[in-house]
Amino acid sequence: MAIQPLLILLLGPIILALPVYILGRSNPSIAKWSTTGIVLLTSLYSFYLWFFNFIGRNIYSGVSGDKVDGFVMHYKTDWIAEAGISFSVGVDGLSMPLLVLTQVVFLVSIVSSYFVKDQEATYYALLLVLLSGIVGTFVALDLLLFYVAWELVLVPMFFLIHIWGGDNRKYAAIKFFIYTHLASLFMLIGLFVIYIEGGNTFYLPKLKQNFTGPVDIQTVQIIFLLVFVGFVTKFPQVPVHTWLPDAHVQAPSPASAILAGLLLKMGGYGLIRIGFWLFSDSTNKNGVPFFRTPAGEDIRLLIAIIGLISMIYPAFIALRQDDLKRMIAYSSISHMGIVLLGLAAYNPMGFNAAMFMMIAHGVISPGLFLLSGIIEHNTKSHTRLMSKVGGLGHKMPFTTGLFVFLGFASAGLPGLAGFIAEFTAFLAMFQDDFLGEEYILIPVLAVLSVIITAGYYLWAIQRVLFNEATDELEKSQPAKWWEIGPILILAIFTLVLGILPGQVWEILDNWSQDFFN
Amino acid sequence: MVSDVVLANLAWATIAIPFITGITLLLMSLFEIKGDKKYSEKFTGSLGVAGLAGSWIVSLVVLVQFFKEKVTHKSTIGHVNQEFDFLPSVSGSFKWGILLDPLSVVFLVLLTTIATVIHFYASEYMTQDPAYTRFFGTMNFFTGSMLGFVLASNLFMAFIFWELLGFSSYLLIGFYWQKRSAASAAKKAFLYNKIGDISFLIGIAIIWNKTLEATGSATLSYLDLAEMMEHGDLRFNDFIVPALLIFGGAIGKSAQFPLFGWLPEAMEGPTPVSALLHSSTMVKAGLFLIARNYYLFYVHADGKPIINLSDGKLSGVIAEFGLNSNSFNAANAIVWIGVITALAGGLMALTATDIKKVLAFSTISQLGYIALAMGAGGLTAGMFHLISHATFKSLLFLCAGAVIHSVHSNEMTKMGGLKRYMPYTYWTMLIGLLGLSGVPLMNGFWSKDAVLLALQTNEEIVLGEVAYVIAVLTAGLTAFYSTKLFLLVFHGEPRYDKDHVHPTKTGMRMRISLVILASLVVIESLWWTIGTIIDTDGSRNDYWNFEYALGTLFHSHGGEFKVSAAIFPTVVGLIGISFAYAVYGNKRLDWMRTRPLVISAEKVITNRFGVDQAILWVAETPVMGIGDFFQKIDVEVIDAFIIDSLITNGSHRLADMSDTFDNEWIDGTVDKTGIQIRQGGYLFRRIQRGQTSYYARIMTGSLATILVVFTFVRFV
Repeated sequence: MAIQPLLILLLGPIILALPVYILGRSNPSIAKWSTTGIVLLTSLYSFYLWFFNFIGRNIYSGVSGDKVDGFVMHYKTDWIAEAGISFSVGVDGLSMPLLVLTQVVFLVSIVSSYFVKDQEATYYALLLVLLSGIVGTFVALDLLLFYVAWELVLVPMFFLIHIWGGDNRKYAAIKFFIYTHLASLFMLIGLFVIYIEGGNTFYLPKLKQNFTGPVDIQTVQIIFLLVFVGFVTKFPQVPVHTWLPDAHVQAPSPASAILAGLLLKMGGYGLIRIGFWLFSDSTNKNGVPFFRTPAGEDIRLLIAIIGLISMIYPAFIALRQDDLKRMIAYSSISHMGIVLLGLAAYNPMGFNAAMFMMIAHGVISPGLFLLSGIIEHNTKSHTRLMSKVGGLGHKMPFTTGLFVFLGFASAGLPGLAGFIAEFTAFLAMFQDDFLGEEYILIPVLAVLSVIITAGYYLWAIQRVLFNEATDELEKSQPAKWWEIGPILILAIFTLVLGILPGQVWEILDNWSQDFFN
Repeated sequence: MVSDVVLANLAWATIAIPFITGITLLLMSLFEIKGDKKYSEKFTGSLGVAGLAGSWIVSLVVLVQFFKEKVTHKSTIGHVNQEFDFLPSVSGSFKWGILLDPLSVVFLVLLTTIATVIHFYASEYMTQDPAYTRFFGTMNFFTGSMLGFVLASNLFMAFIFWELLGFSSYLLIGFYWQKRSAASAAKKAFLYNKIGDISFLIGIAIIWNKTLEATGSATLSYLDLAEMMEHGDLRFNDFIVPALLIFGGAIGKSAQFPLFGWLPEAMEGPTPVSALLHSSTMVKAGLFLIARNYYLFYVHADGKPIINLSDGKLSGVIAEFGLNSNSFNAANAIVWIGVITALAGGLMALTATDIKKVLAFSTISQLGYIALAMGAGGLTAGMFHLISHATFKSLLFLCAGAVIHSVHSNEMTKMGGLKRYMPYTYWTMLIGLLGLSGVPLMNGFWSKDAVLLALQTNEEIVLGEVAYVIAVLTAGLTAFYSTKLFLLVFHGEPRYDKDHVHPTKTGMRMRISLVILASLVVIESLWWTIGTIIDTDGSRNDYWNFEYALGTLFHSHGGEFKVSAAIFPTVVGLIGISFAYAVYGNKRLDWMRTRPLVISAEKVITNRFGVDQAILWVAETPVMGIGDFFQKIDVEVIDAFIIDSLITNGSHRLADMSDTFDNEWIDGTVDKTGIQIRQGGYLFRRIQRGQTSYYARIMTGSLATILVVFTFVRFV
C-alpha cells in the first residue's frame, strides 16, 4: 500500500499524543519540543503536498491521474459496510488551503504556548488531539467521519479553556460546549436526513451524485436549514454568537488563536461543503438549480440577512468594548459575516471571496489574539483593558508595529490579505442579480459597516499603543522571540497573501468555476 | 526608439524605487529600535532623498521618451497600456497595470519634481529628530503610493494605492504619535478618508457590474471604459450614480465640503509632510481621479475633445444620447461642492491664526477651485490650476516650515518683523504668495483665470452666475489672507518672546529647496505669460501656450484667455490685497476687527460652520449609542433573557417538570400500585387466619358456589 499522505496528517498527531503525554509527564520540555517538532513536520509536509498537488494545475481540467471522485490524495476503505459507512478522506480546492492553514495556525499557536508552565504534558497532548480533530473535519469525505472529527474537536477545546483559561473559565467552557454541542445535534439530524434521502450512504461524492438532477425542493430546504443551524453556531453568527466572546476572553491566547483561526472555519467549511457543494447540481423539476429556485433564493436571502446583521451588529459592539480580546472576538464575528454574504451572492467571485476571507481571517485574527496575549503577560495586573493599558509604543516597539500592521490588515488595508476578500465579496454582491438589484440595500449597508471596522481598530490602536505610557507597563519588557516570531510568520503570510494572492486565488477559482458548471 | 514595454517598465521603476527605499528605511528603523543603534542621518537622509531623486530622473526619461514616441502628431496622441493579472478569474480578472498618457505623465513629473525638493528640504529640517529614519521611510512609501495611484491603468489598482495613500498619510500625520493631538488627528484623517473610500468602493462595484451586464466580461480599465462609453456600449445615463459615488471618494481625499475637517488637523505632522500632502499628493489624488474618469462626468463623442457642455454644436450629441438637463447632476454636483468648498476654505483661512492652518484652509479653498473647474467641463483648466497650485503651495509650506523652525511657534501672533532675519524665506515666500493671490502675470493668475473662464462659459450649470460671483469673491479672499499672512509674519513689530527665541537664518539645504521651488514658480509665470502673449495671432500651432498644449494633450480645450474676462477677477484680487494692507499693514482699517458683527462672524467661521461638530456629534452620539444599545442586547437579551432565562431556566423548569413527572406520575403510579396491592394484602390477610374450621367453611362455601354457578350455566 502506498503512503497515504492524508492519513499521516489525520492520524499522526492523535497517535503521537499518548507518547507525548507519557514522556512529558516526567520531563515537560520533551512534550514542548516534541510537539513543536511534530507540527513543524506536518506543516512542511502539508506545504509539500500543496505545491505538489495544486500549484500550477487545475485538478478539474484535463487528466489528473491521482484524482478520484473529484478529490486528490483520495483514500477510501470500508468501515461499517452494512450501514454504508466508509473511512474516506480526500482534499480538493476548497479543503486544501484550509488544511495548510490548520498546520500554520497550529505551529504558531504551539510556539507561542511556551509560557504555559502548568501541566504541560496534558496541554500539548490535547493540542495534538485537537489538531487531528480539525484536520479530520477538513479532509473527511464520509459524513460519519466528519461528525466524529467535528465532535472530537470539542473535547480538547473544552479542557483547554477549562484548565488553562482565565478567571471565569468554567462558565465560558461550559457555554462553549453547550452551544456547539446543541447545534451539532441539529446538524446530526440533518446528516441523518441526508443519509436517508441520499441513498443510504455517508460517502460524500456518492451523495452528491445522488442529489444531482431533480430533487424534492422541500427536503433539500429542510436539510439545508438543519445543517445551517449546526454550522452557523460554530461560525458563529448573530444571534447564536455570544459564546464566542466569552470563550475568547477566557481561553489562553494560543487556544484563542486556534479558536478564531480554525474552529470558526470549520463552520464555514461545513456550510460550503454540506450546505452548498452537496446540492450544487440539485435542480427542481424544470432543471433550475436549487439555489436559483424561489425556495433556494429564500435561503440565500436568509443567509444574506444573517450575514449582514452579523457584520454590522458586532462591529458596533466592538466599538464599545474595553477588553482588547473581546473587541477582536466581535471583529471576528463581523468578518465571518462577509463569508456568509459572499456565499449568498452565489457566483464564482462570491465563493472565492468567502473562501479567501476564511484563509485571510485565519492568518490575521490569530495574530491579533496572540498580540493581546503578549500585552496581557506584560502588564502589571495582567490586564487587557484598553482603559488601563496605554503608550505601548514606548515599551514594546515590535509588538506595536505588528499590532498596527495586523489591525489595519483586519480593517481591510490593500496589499494585505483581508482586503482581497472584502473587496471581491462586495463586488460579488453587487454583481448578483438577486442581491445587487432587488436587495441592493444589503450590499450597500455591508460596505458602510467597513467604516465602523476601521473606527474600532483605529480607536484601539490609539488607546493602547499611542499616547503616554501608563504605569501598568512599568515592568514590561520587549517581547521574546517565541512571542513575536509566530506573529511575524502570520504577518508575513498576511502580506504574501495580499500582494500575491494569485496562487491561492487560482485554486479557489478553479474550485468555484467547477462548482458553477 | 523605445518600445512600449520599456516605457512601461520605466514607469514601474518610478513606482518601485521609492517603495524599495521606503521599505528599506522602515526596516532599518526597526533595527534601530532593536539594537539601540543609530544609523547616521547623513546615510538615511541621503537614501531617502536618493529614492525620490532616482524616481525623478526616471520620470524625466519617461516624459521625454513618451513625448518623443507618442506625441508625434497633435491629432494622434498615443498611450502605453500594460496590464497583467492580479486575481485571475474566468469571469473578469483584476489587473495590475500602467497607463501612460499625457495626463499621467505630466502629473508624474510634477509629483516627482516637487517631492524630491521636499525630501531634500526635509533632510535638513528633520535633523536631530529621534525618528529620522522612520520619517524618510514613511515619506518614500507615501510618495510611492501616490505614484502607483497616478500611473494605475484601472480602478482596481487605483483603489489599492488610494487606500495605501490613506494608510501612509495616517502614519505621517501621526508621526509624533506620543502626542495625543497627533494621534487623534491621524485617526480623524483616516476615518474621514474612509468615508470617501466607501463611496469610491461602491462606485467601482457598480461600474464592474454594469460593464459585466453590458459586455459579458467585466472590466475596470480606464481605457476600456472610456472606449465603451464613447462607442455607446455603455450608456452615459447609467453612470450618473457611480460618477457621483466616485466623486464621493474625491470629497474625502481632496477635502471637499463637508469632509474638509481632517485637513487642518493634518498639520500635526512635520511641515515637510504638510508640504507634500498639500502640493502634489494625497489631496490632489481625488481631483486626479475625476480627471482620469472624465468619461463618467462629461459626454464624449467621436474622439473629439471633452465637451464643454455649453458648446452649441453638442446639443445634437446630447439629444442623441437621450439626455436632458437633469442628466448633468454629476457635473453640477461637483461644481457646487467645489464652489462651497472654495468659499468656506477662503473664509476659514481668513480667521486662522496658525500659519500652517492658514495655508491648509487655503489649500481647501484652492481644491474647491480645481473641483469646480473640472465639474464645469474644464479638465484642462482644473489640471492647469492643479499644477500651479502644487508649485506655489509646496513653496509656501516649506517657507512656513522655515519660519516655524526659526521662531518655534506656529502662531502668527507670535511672529512679526522676521524680514530682517530670514531674507531668503522672505523673498521666496513673497513669490509664492503672489502666485497664490493671482497677481497678474504670475502662474496663479493664468490658471485661476482659466478656472473662472471654464465656469463662465458653461451654461449648463445651475445658477452658474452665482457660482461665478462666489468664485471671484473667493479670489478676493485669497488675496486678502495671503497679504495678511505676509504682513503678520515678516513685517510689523516682533511679537515673539525675545528672551528665548532668537530667529536664525534658514539652513543651507532648506534655502536651496526654497530657491528651487521659487524659481519653478517664476519659470511657470514667465513661460505662461510669454506663451499667452506670443499666441495672440491665434495660429496656435506650437506648444508655447502651455494651457493650449495641455488642452490638446488631454483631448480637451484650453488657452482661450480673454483680457476682458480677466479684468473683474483681477480687480477683486487687487482690492483684497489693498484691503488687507489697510487692516494689517498701515492699520487704517484696524478698527474693523473689533466690530461685533465681524467678531461673531469670526466665531462661526472658526467653528468651521459647525460641519465638523456635526460629524463629531454623529460619530459620538448615535454611533456610540447604537454600540451601547447592541451591547445591551447582547448581554441583557441574548445572554440574559434567551440563554439564561429561557434556555437555562427553561431547562431547569423542564428538569423540574420531569422530576415531578417522574416522582408523581411514573413513580407515583408505581407507588400507588404498590400501596393498593399492600392494602389488598391487608385485606386478604384477614382471611389467612390459620384456623382449619374457617378454611373448611370457606372451601365448602366456595365449592357450593361453583357448583351452583356451573349448574346454573348448564341449564340456562
